[in-house]
Amino acid sequence: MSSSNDVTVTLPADVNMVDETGYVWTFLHEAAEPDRVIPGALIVAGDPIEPFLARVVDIIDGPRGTSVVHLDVLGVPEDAIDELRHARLLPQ
Amino acid sequence: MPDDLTPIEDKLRPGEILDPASHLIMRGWPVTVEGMLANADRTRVRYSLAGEPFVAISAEVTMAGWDVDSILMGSRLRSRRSYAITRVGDLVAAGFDLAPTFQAPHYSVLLPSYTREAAERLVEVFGEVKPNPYFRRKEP
Repeated sequence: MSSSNDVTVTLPADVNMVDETGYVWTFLHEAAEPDRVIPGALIVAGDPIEPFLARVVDIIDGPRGTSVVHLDVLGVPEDAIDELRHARLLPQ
Repeated sequence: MPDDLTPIEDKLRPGEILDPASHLIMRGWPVTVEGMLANADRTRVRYSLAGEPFVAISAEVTMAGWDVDSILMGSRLRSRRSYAITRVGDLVAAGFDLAPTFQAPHYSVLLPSYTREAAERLVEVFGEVKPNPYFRRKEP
């Protein structure tokens, strides 16, 4: 497991923040590489200390020309690593 | 004042009354000054209250159908290693108002101002950060 100093989240977000959709929301412009954040994409979001794994649900217009990203929280990155190892898609 | 902020008044759940002594308010990581300020900044950029930017952070309150365990084991908070919890009454006594926003059990905790001092006070009221016993456990 990397230390938090090494972790780069694709999209900064706060798992506590939901809107009327029930999904976590954040702003697209906070992503260092916004091109990675597209509907349907599986991304690492949150903060470097406690990142989470999320599916990008949609991207909608926000205030002042911003874009709001909705995220479906799937778990933590370790969950995906465990599953990929189980499927032998990653070294044991 | 930009006119394209979404009024939070349109997102309130009417008629909810909290008991300051028995209702608990909780928040998953981050429970830090920087985390609170980042949350409040996003919220004030998107929403307004009474025509002004809505300076608030997101949290969840125990209520009918939502106890501490069910909130912690929910799909979002079970991704948190840690969380903090306090009584609604303690938060209100410290000068923070609450608003029932979006879907239960979500609440917004209003900051009196977007300042480091207000965020520090909020972190102080939430108190000790505890380990989440449901971290990474699947929903039943």
